[in-house]
Amino acid sequence: MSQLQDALQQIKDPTVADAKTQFEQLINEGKAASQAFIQSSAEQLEQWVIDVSNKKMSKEEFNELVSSQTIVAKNFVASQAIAAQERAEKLTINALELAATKIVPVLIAAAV
Amino acid sequence: MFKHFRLSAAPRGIIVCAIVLSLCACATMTKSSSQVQVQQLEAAHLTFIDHYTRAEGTPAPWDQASFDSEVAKITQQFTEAEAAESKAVPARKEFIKNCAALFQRDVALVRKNHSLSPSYAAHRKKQLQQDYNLFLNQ
Repeated sequence: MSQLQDALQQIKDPTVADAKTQFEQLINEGKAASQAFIQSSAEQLEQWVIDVSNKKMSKEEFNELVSSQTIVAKNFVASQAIAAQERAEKLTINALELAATKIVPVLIAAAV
Repeated sequence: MFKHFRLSAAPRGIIVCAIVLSLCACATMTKSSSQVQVQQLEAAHLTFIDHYTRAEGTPAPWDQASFDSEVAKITQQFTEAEAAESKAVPARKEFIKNCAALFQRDVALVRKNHSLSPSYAAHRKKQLQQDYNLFLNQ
């Protein structure tokens, strides 16, 4: 089992089960992407979630990384061809939003 | 009478080439000096992060005056870099503005907590390197 799955296992709340599955899918799809930026973004986000769950980083620090990465990702998405923008946005910005709004708040509550 | 003052086609061509070449050289130098400046901004931000990363388990020693002075110095660097950018390349100006905003976010975090966790610092540095590389490799 991966470290991310270990971390997500701590979330028992059934109301976020779908969000958990969706998040894992976005991370896996992002890591398999051919573009280096999307790949790196997914790998970084995965590691941030793992570190928050292990209390190596505060929620405030996590949120800071997510906010900044969203800015960086918007620049990246804008630099892509129109046809590729939707996918790039899904694998970067949407994954960041999902982590910040659905996954990490519940993960921190579960880890207390 | 003035025919020896007239430029023949060949020297005119040479002059045009010389002008084009010098304009290209100017553009290259501008881009290159701008890149060096951007790299200096990146280095300053990364050094700031290193400076305020607490060692695991140790309380952070805090020196308000030193912090203020360091922040003022780096902020000035960002301001000067942004001002030096030509309006002809708005993307470069915008990028420096965004980087300055990222730096100020770290300043706010350090001002509040007096330090950064080693984990955050490592992730932040990687994130910044990714951001700067994306720009520098364009």
